[in-house]
Amino acid sequence: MSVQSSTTNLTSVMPSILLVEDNPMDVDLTRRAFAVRNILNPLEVARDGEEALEFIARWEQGWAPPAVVLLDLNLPKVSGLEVLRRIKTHARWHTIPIVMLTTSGEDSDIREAYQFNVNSYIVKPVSFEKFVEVAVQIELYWGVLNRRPV
Amino acid sequence: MTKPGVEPLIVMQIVIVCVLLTLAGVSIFAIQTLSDAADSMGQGKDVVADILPPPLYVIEAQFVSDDVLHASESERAPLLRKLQSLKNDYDLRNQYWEASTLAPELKRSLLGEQRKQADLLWQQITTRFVPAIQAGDRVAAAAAMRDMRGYYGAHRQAVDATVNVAHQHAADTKNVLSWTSMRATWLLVIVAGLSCLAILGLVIPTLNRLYRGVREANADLERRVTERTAELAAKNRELETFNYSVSHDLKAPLRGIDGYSKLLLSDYADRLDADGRFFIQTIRTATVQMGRLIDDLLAYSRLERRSITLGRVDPRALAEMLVAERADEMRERGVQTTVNIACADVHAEPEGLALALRNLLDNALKFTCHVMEPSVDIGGEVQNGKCVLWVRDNGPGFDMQYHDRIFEIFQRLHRAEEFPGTGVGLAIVRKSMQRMQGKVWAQSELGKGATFFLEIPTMKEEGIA
Repeated sequence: MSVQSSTTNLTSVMPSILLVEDNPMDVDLTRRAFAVRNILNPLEVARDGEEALEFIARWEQGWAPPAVVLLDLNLPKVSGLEVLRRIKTHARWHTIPIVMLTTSGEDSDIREAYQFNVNSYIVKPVSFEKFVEVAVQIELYWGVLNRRPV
Repeated sequence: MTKPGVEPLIVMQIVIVCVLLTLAGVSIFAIQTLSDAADSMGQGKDVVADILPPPLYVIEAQFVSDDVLHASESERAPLLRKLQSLKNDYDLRNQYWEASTLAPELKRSLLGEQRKQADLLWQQITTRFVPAIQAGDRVAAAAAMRDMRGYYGAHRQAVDATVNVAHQHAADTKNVLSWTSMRATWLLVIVAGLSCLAILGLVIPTLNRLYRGVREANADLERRVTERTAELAAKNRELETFNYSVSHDLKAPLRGIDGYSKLLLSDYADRLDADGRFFIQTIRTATVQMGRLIDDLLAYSRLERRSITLGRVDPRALAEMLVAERADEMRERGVQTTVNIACADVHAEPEGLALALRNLLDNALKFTCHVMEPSVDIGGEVQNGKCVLWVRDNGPGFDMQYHDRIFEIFQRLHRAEEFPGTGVGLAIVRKSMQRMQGKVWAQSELGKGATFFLEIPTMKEEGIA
């Protein structure tokens, strides 16, 4: 099982952002959206729910946890909601902010995500321009403004 | 499931008819018996009343004979005629009783000893007394008279016996009558009791069985309806899930098309000529349109899936909020807007009503985009106990023959380049109104603008205010 990561620089000052997304096009567009606005946070990618859960083991081994997890709902193998539940019920890593970033704006999906203590729920816009806006705002808020427990 | 057959009903009907026929038969029999008894009793009475006349003839004959004995020559003839007449009457009377249906013991007494003595008396009168008188032999006549008195006394005794028999007969008849009436009463009681038993034993279980059958059929029907409803609900959910996932799955590639065409346009602009840029621009316009279509479809299907919660909505505040949402756009385009709603709170689904009104407002704004002095008026008033809201624009309007079509999903009356749209908006309006027992309709004329109406139950009408 390979875990893709772009600029996996553990000593980097900027905390990483973990993107859990199965659609390669979306992964690429996210990467490009970050690039368009010169977002410097390293982007780590898990391509399905199972890969996302493997990150928990890595954090246990001393890898730096991300500033935020951007989590899709519809994922192969382990669903986005299950990944959310596993992290949010984890004794140590439940403090990691998780933002749902999904196509679904369904009331039921939003309600369920909040029941599992999601930190934020954002609907992925179809328009690339708007998507870039969303990516920038997420990075700005969770990567720069937001303070996390040490 | 036991089906209530036809047989129990037929058996029940036969039993009821039998019971009624038996009751009718018993009643007729009882009435017949009673009327026979009454006849018999009447005749008995007649006899007692009638027993006297024959003796009367006889008594009178005795007296007339006495008169004859002491009468003068000239008085004698009418008295003898009288005597003859009494004899005739007496014979006639006896003939009547002989032919009558009188009870045998009465007949025996009346026409037996009583008559025998009377006949002997008459014989003395006709064979001895009258000839002696006619011969002028007073001594012989007096002797006959003495014998006649003997027969007369015997006759009187026979009469007394007949009266006794008649009394006895009347008493017997009375006994028969009371016995018959008692028997008829008991018969009626027994038949009525048996009828009741028959009804209890057959009709009631039959009715019960039929009732049970009907109830079972009802329960079965209800169960089937519940099953079907559940099936339908499951199908509906399946369809919604399909709709939902299809819509979402359609959006992901769309994002790719939009994203990469945008990147192409921004990163490779210098390597594209005007045509190339136009093509990419067109791709992006189409993408935006398709994105809207999917969003609208999702909104439409979400309306179906979302459970409905009715509450109190202030239509005026809602309209003002919606106008405020579009205030920037209206100011830029110089759209004149008025909100004039004279409705108290309505009983509606807050989000659904907002969705409907927002769609109508957007519709009005869209169709006034080519108008020189665009105006959109939102109004409302209570009509027939319901709140009727309307959104009026001075756009191009539409031909009323298409009225029903405009509320159908994907139905559009205008080309996309005139007025953009997905053809879902008014369908959403109609669906959200249907969900809250409301109505939507429109009034328009080509070139004269259009007015869309929403009818919503008021709190007062729902008895909640």
